[in-house]
Amino acid sequence: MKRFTSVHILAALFLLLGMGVQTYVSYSRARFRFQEKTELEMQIAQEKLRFELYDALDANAQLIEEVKRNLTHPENLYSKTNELLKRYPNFYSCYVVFPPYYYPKKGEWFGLTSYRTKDSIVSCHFGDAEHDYFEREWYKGAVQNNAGYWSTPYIDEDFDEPIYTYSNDVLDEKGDLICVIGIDFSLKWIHNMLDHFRPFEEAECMLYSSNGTLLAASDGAPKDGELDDGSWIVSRKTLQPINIRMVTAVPRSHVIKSLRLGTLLPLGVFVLGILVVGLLIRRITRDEQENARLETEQEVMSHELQIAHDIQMGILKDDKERIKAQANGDIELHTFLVPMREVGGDFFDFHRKGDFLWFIIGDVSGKGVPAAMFMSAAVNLFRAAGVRATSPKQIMEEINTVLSENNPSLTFVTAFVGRLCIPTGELLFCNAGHCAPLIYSPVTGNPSPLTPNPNIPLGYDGRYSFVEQGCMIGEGEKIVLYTDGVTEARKGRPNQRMISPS
Amino acid sequence: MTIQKTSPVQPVTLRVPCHEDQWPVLRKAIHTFGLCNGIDKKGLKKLEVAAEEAIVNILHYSQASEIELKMKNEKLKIILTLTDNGIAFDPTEHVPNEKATNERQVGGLGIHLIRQIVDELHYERKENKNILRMVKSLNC
Amino acid sequence: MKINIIPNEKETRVCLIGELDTTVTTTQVEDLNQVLALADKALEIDCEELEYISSAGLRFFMQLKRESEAKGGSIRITHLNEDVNDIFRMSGFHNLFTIE
Repeated sequence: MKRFTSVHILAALFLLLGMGVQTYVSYSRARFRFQEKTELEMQIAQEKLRFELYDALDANAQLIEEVKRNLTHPENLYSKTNELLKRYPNFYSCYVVFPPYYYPKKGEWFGLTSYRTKDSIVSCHFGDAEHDYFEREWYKGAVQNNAGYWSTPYIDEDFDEPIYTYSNDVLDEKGDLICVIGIDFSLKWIHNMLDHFRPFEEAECMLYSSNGTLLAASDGAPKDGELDDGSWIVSRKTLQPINIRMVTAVPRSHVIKSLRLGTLLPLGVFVLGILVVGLLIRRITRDEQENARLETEQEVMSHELQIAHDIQMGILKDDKERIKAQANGDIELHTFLVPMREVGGDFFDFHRKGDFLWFIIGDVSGKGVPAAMFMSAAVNLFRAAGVRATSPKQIMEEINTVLSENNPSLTFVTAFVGRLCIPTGELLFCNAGHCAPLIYSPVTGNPSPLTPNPNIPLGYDGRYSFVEQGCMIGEGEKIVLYTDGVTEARKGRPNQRMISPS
Repeated sequence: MTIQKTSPVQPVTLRVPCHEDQWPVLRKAIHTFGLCNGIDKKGLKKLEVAAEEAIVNILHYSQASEIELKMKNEKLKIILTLTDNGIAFDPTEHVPNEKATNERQVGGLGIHLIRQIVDELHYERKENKNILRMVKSLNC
Repeated sequence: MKINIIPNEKETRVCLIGELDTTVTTTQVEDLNQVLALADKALEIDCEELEYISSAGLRFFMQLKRESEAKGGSIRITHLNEDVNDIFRMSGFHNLFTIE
């Protein structure tokens, strides 16, 4: 009788202890998940923001070419700056200014500018005794720095507009100053943009310039002091090459709110676990030291908690070993690729969520930094979209919308997104101009191509509605995905993956 | 592409300055060579598109002063070889190219079309020259 | 390449005659700009006599499409011959436009 009671007391103690441990484990896992999700969402927002401001670097490069081409006829630059503003709706104004008496006939100040008014773009001369641009921060900054210079925000006197400038100096072969180029962004525009870019509803965003000035913040954003007082979970990222810091904060109370649902289910499993353990204890009752027994049982408890929690949450880190371990049971996943996820313009990624295996393979044609950026954007968007997407069509459309928003050079991107339901073999897929995958039959060993609707290549029409298709993959069949590097004799197949459900 | 005559014509080589206004000259040459080799009109037109894309890429990126076009008909395959004396530029590679940052024509649409049209595409850098070889079989 | 513009009540018909290659897009900028200026209207691009197109031409179509979407116009492409249609298909452009 006595033993029976003491077991009950012990069980009660375990329950209390277990609840404490479990709550803590759940909380830290939930917080980690939030941080992970925030990171992924921030990556999308980053790519978008970077595209917008990257235009400044690109326009700058073009304007430098134009200046060098028109050194003998600088008046041509009026129309060039005008064209630039037409092409980039997010620029507020742009200008080219020359050092004193560079053109002796033009006098001490000679600058050409185009700027936006309510209805039009105005091009005119710029610079005189009252508008002494040599004294401006953007001019001095450009001349002193080797790379471009991002100014601190200031109010433009003439138009009462909060401005943020990117400026750069142009030198000749001898290293002498030819001129300074400037491109202005309106802070009001950046402020509006920020609202679009909230990673998710409860999050608040702030943007800081490289010297720490607050450029813009969303409406509910915490003030400077509040950020580190413990009531917010904060993520910080510096966006290169524009050197702006993006800070996202989520209220801690929100994480706790999400906990409630999260605690009920594992609690059920936990109670079951307790009963099992309780029964075990009753069977193994021996005259051992109470403390030693407590410790062992605590360890067992947390381990089982972990497994139960994982099963419930289906958390799977993006970890090749772990995926392979998961995959061993019902599918085999082979990749032939140099260790990086991206080889030149070819990219692929995959992740497993419960019974589904999501994958993407694609190809970015074209050269230059825009092409490279598109590729990293596509992979990041696939991962982030994968956290909450329900279908390949949805993921494809999301990637397409973002890439189309900033593609004046019509960089050509093809991709194939698929979702394989492992227990049933149902494959749902969406193709965007990519080479059709092959399905190898286990019996004949012969491949037959899938004939997907090619839809359109990514990055051309952000509003396009993609057609999604489905088919069944039988046991033992292999899906081979590839990119079109195959036509090069010396490369062989740089990017090939096989998935075979067994 | 189908073949109507069986007697192949001698290989043809053309060397021209690397400039935009030379494209019509090269195109005329490819067209004539194609007709003489009995390539049907559809196939020939596609070949001209592939050549245009390749030549335009060379014009924009290689900073070459000269382009050489060699055409031959070998065992039912038409082989177009473009050689230029510009900087190392492999149109089939996706490697980010610094020179390309300024050029808004960067797109990759051209190389995609070339891949769809020709059967084989090879690039080689030899003796400070870029050599791009496109092969199209006549049987299909 | 020659361009004939035939304005009508409901739709403006733009006939492209000849070849739309890189030479045309660099030397006939004014003519092409004339078409772009009509982007706010309902346009029929009649390609019956369009013999040849390359990526330079496709880029022009893309430019036209973007202008048209920005200015509230519409585009439909008609009478594409086989060769030009093939190029549209190969580049994945056939789904980007209304083609009849």
